[in-house]
Amino acid sequence: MLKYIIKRLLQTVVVLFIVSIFSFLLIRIAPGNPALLMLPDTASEEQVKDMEANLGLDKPLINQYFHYMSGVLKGDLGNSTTYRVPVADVIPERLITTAKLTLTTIILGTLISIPLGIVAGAHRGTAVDFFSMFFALLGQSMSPVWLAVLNVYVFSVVLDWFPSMGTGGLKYIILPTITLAYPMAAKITRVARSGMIDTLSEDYITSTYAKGIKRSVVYRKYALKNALIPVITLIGIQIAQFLAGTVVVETVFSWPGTGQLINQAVQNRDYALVQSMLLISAAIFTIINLLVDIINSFIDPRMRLE
Amino acid sequence: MKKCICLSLSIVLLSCMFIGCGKSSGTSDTGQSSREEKKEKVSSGGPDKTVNIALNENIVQLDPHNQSNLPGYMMWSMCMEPLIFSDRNGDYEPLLCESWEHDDSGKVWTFKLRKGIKFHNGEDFNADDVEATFHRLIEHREELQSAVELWSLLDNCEKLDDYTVKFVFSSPDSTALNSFSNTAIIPNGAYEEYGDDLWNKQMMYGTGPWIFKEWSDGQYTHYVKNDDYWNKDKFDSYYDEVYIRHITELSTSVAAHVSGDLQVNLKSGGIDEDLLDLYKGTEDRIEMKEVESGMFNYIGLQCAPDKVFHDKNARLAFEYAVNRQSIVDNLLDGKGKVPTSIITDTCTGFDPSLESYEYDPDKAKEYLQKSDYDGQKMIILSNTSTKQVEETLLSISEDMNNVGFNTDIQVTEPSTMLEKRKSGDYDLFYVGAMHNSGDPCQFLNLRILNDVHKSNFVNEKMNNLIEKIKVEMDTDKRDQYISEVSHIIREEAAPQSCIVQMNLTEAIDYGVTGIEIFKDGNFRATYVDYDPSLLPAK
Repeated sequence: MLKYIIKRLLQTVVVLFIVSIFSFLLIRIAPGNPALLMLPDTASEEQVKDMEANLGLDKPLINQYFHYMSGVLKGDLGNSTTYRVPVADVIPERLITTAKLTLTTIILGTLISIPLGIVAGAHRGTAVDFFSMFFALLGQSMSPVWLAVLNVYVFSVVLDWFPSMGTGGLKYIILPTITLAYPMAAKITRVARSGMIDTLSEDYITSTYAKGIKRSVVYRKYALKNALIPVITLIGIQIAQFLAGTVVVETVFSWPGTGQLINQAVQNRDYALVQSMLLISAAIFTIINLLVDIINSFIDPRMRLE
Repeated sequence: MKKCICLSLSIVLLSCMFIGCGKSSGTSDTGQSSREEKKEKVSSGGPDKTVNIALNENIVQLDPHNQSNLPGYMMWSMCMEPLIFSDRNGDYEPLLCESWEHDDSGKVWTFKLRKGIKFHNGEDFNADDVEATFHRLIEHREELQSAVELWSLLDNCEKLDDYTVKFVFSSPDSTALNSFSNTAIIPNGAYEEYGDDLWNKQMMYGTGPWIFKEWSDGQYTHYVKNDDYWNKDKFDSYYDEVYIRHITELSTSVAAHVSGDLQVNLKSGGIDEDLLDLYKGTEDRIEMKEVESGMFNYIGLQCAPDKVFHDKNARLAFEYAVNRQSIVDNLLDGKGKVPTSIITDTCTGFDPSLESYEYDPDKAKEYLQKSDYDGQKMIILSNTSTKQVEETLLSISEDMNNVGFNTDIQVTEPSTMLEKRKSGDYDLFYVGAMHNSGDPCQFLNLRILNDVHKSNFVNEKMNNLIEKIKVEMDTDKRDQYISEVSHIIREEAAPQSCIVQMNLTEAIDYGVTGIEIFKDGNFRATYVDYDPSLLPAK
């Protein structure tokens, strides 16, 4: 196991290296000059050149890349040209805000979807199954923008139950959580249901019935574990996606998370901030994938990591 | 039986989700009663002592001398004060100073400072603070926005005694009053101790009626009342706390205002017409304030020798081709007017005798035929993607195409637009602008004399006039020069063509006073207060 984890961590380093190259090049290919954005309209060409020199933009790309990466390896993510402070000072607060939303979303989404999907899969063709499919279809068909606006209109404007924007106490997190959790729950419900159906049609399950073991025991002891493997994988991907930022939901609910930050950074051609955010997102993705694999190996010994 | 249990379980789960949400909001009542409570609070003359003001722009740092956009001014003017108070309409009066005067040359200004004022950190306000403020601006002349935009002509700031300061300019600066009124005075002691870290550590010490409490990036700026405000006789707010909430998504701020989470909703350029409908049903609580502003949208023309609009006939063809009145009537819903030139009727030096180009497609075709235009495709560039702007662009493009131009529109993001304008890589661009405090000098200096957007249009006579406007201290003469410039712009139809001048609509709860919506498009909430007598009669 340890050997596998080390191997995966080394792979992560390779992934991060590739991501660092792509993020570095892509943001520079886009038109726009951070030096111009930092200076007032009155800035002369000399002033722009001076600013470019200050930012190191006058050097060849390869030098710029190595300068940035050598900083990263030393723990220095560079300076944000938008905020004019080290990138490392900007990201943590946003990441924590996003992590809070991710946590509540995952809790709400899984609490609804896993029982619903499992029960629906175990009772195929019943009213519960029909309901779960309706729930999943609706959730996956709805645009997040539409759902966000609908939530604001119904729960904030009409019913006045929750604030429509901002962060603060628990009541502020509920609407963005519902907006993110519903489409996620819809996906998980479908996967859990089909996982349960597939597992229940396996021969070893039939043989457990033949041995006279109670259905509830079969579901709990034999079927559930296998049905949960794709669900855990999906939850892992969702967590990583949420942590990388959900621009639409963060914008509609004025939630100051990583999605808003990266959106703003791209608009302002804040090279160091964009690159660092992409690196962090990639790191989150790979680490969560690794954790998912480890969890799955505990659930199903056949998936032993060696 | 099992099926029923499962079904019930599913329903219970979903119900729990919604009921749980309801309880966790902390409102045990129904939404309707909560709404009624909010209304009741307002109508009883005793609303919450916290006022929430939405602004559609974010701030990214706190340095009061390095703010380029609108929320920057609004943010620092809550807690910090300049030497001179401006009504942003051309009138000035002493604020942190008792008086000021300048010599005949206009190069030497002397300020007598007010005594007995303290900063929020306890420091006494005196000449050292003024000196520290302006030395900082001089030392960072090419870095700080305020220094570059306002103080390029300032040579020195010298303390004569504890309450007298002398400013020396390299040449007379006719916009000095505006510059003084836009520069926050910072405390010398704190600045000496922390330097620029003052802003990174969120230590916004000023002398204003509100004490800066906290800035939460992407969220809000929070202030509490300064009970020891030196000018309390003049201003003593009902409110104890102010939150300026930076909500970039306008539909979110409208929803929050309608639901009562906000008391004021401000958007630079006014709340979009298509979102105003969302306010229906709130007429008894929220007032839609319409202000005739000096904000305008204009087309910048590329007049380089190898470009279409180098030819005056092509420029005149453009002027006669665009149906501005139709844009005002149909796209702005009548909330605006057709301006005569970029020097609008809210500007000092505006000449009311000047008329705008009328819509005359036949004349436009004649001028176009006289021009060297060969039918090449031209792009109208914009960086604003609102429905109204896109429709305006389409309308301009269609009008131009109807007389024989071949145009298309392209909406790009601000950074791309900035680069294209800075390099002159465009045919036409469409943007909004305003004249700070109704003085067109900065606009003329930047966008015509210094040609920061590389229009490549040069008119020596106009440039000489702008040079004079910059240094002329006699307001009558100065106004005459501005008027002459507006005539040249109209006659040459270059380098900008003004399309529309907009009215702004902002939403403010009845009873909330002191929210200043200026004609130059800026806002100030420094003197926000509450007056129950302004509530509508039941």
